[in-house]
Amino acid sequence: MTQPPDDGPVMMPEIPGELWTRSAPGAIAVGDLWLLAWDDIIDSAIITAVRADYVLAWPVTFEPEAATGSARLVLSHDSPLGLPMVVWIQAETGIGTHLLARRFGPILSRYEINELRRSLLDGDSPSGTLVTTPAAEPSSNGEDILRRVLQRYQNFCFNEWPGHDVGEGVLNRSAIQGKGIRVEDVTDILGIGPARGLALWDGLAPPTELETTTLANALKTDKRELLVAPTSAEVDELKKPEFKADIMLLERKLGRSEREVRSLLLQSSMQAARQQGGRADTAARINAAIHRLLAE
Amino acid sequence: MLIVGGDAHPSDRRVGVVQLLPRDDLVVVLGRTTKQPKLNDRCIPSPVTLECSLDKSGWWIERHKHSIDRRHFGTPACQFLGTLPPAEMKALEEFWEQVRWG
Repeated sequence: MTQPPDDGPVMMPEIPGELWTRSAPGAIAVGDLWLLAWDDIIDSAIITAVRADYVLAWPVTFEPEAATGSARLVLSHDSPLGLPMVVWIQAETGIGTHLLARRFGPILSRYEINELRRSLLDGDSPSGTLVTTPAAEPSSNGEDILRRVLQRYQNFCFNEWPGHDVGEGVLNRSAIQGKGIRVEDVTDILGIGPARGLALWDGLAPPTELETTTLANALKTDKRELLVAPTSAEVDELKKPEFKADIMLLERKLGRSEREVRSLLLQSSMQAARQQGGRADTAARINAAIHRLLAE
Repeated sequence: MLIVGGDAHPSDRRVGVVQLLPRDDLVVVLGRTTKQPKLNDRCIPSPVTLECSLDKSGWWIERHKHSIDRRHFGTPACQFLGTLPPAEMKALEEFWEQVRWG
C-alpha cells in the first residue's frame, strides 16, 4: 500500500508534560478524547463510534483561529487538556484501535455527537452542545491546517496492523491448499527444514521476500495471492490500547519502528502459545514477551 | 451522487463517494477492500465491475471512511473510474444510510 508522505508532527501544540501524562484509564468509549500515535507521529481525536478493532473519530487540533467550514470549537474550560480545541467534524475517519495511545477522558456526550453530525449533514447549527461555532473569518492558515488534517487522517485510516505485505503477511494456507499443495511441498520447494516449514504453514512466521518469490514462481501465482494478514488471539490483543505504552517504550529502547516491534511481540507470544498450550492467557503471554524484550 | 474514484494522494485504494459536504468543499468516501473483512466489520459486498476498473471482488467498508478535498477529484491523484451500475449504487446508498450516523 502506498502511503503519502507526512508533513511531520505539526498538529500538536506545546503542552506541558504533566498534561500529556495525565491519562484517564478506561475502555474505549464514544465521546472520549484520545492521543493517537504511530512512530514519531502524534495527534489527538474524539471517538465518535466504537467497533471491534477500529473506531470512527473526529480529528482535533489546537489553533482555535484556524477553525474553518464546519469545524467546531471546544473552549479551554471544557477541555480535558485545559486548551481550546478545534474539532474537525467534517473529517470523520475510521482508525484502527492500534493507534490509540492514551485516553484523556470524556469531552462530548453521545447526544452532542449526534447533534453535531446532524448539523454537518443538514448544514445548520447544532443545539445543546458545548462546542461553539467559530468566528466567521478563520485565519489564513485554516485551509492549510485542514489540508494537513485530511492528509494525516488518510494515512491513519489506511494504517492497518498487521499487514499482508512481505515481511508481515503469513501464508494464505487456504489458497495454497486450494492448489493441492501440502506442507511437505512447501518445505521441498523452499529447501527449508521441517521446523521452518511448519512455522510458515501454521502462520507463526512470515515468509521472507525470497521464500515468497520462490513459492509464487513454483505455484505460478501472484505473490500477493500467497499472503494474508495474520489473525490470532494475540493479534486481537495487541490491537488494544493497553499495550501501546509498552510498545512505544520498546520502540525507543530497541530503535525499531512500531510495526517492527509489534511483529516481534506477535511472533514471540505466538511461539510461546505453541510451547505452553493453555497454561497462560493471551495477555499474559504478550506481557511476558514485552518483559523479555525489555530485558534484552 | 455516487461515483468510484481512486483515492487522493499516491494510493492504490478505490473509494466510493457517499456524501458531499458543500459547506466544506469536502467529499465523504468509503474505501473498498479486496481483503476478507472480519466478522464484525460493517461492510457490503462489491462485485467485480469492470466498467469501474474493479477487477477483483471486494467490499465497501466503514473502516475506511474518510474525507477528501473536493479539489483532488478529477486530478491524477484522484481519478474518476466510473459510475456504479444501478444495483451496486443502490446497495451502497442503502449501506451509507445505515452507517452515516455512526
